[in-house]
Amino acid sequence: MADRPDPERAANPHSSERAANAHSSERASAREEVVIDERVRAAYRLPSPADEPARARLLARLAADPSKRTGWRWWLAADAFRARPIWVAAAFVAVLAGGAWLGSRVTPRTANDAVAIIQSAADPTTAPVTFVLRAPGATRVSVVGDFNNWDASSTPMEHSGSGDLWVLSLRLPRGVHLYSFVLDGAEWRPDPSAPLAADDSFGGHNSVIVVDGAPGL
Amino acid sequence: MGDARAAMTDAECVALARAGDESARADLVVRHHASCIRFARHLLGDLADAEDAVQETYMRAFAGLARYEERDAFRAWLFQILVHRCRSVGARRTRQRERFVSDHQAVERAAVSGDEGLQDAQRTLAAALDGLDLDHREAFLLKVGEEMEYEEMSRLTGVQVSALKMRVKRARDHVRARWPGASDGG
Repeated sequence: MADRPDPERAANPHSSERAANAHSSERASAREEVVIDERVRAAYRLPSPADEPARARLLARLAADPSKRTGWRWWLAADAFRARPIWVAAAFVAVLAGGAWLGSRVTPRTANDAVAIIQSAADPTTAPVTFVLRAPGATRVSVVGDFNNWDASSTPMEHSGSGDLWVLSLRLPRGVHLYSFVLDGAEWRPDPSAPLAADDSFGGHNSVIVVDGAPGL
Repeated sequence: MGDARAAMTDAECVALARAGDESARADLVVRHHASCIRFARHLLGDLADAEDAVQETYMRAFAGLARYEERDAFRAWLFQILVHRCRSVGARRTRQRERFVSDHQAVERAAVSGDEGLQDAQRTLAAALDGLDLDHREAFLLKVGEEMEYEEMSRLTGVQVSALKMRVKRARDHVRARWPGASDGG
């Protein structure tokens, strides 16, 4: 395609000169950006003498991490019984659930086994809590938290029957608990009605509930 | 790392790690530790803080492997955790400085502490980054250092692409003004 005379350039040659200078300046600026980025990247990627020892310390920490042990090795480990609070809570729930399961062998189950299991294990150190979530389009909703070891399968919520409400009532140990909802087994969603939220370290937030046994909880 | 294991994808290593394979965890450390530690080191400007952040990142990542979705790259997921850990460390350090340190020179010394053994280019970069806040450093290092796309950066930082572009541009201007010889293009 042949070059056509630029009417603006013909009318104002100074304007086109300024435009050409601006383009030239932009190109120079872009070149400078490339140069500085390359210098930064070259310096950034140089290893530090401290990196290798840091990696060795991390591998050593992982090797000593009791949470990764499985099977009989976990039980033989000397520090296996230095339980963290989350494991204590999980074990507590598991014991309660186990007792309820034994009870269920001699009594008929209700429609929602998970709810029945935890509620039947009422204890003075626990208090009733009801979780409610409006989740249009969801086919499964669970509550996960430090009280069930973040296991989406252990505490499914009940669909209210009509509308989009999902409800779960259970008893939780008194204290502060982090929790979240899991929709259709994949989408983690903090409780929109919870006044507190904590960074979950995965780019999102967990909700926080304080269970103190006060009326109405 | 054996040949067979070296040929595995991150997703395959993660699947083994989920099943309790300890060596798969170690492989994931070996694969990504270098990029994690250099990012944290330059972002936080302190080796000890960087090591803490990276250790916590891996511990949380392995504790939360059940939450890792295979459609995401493991490295991006790891960096998502790392960015949040670094922000927490940075915020904690800022609070400590506000509480205990009033001498400006002491703050500057702390910002490059533990850098014995670094090369001149690394010192130049540390000096050029000095004075940038954590948000700008974070965006600049992810873009220029780790060569991430803006969309990926947005996913893992939770910051909009337009804001990230602005942070990278401002950070680059800051660095260029402090980089010896950069302003003359040589």
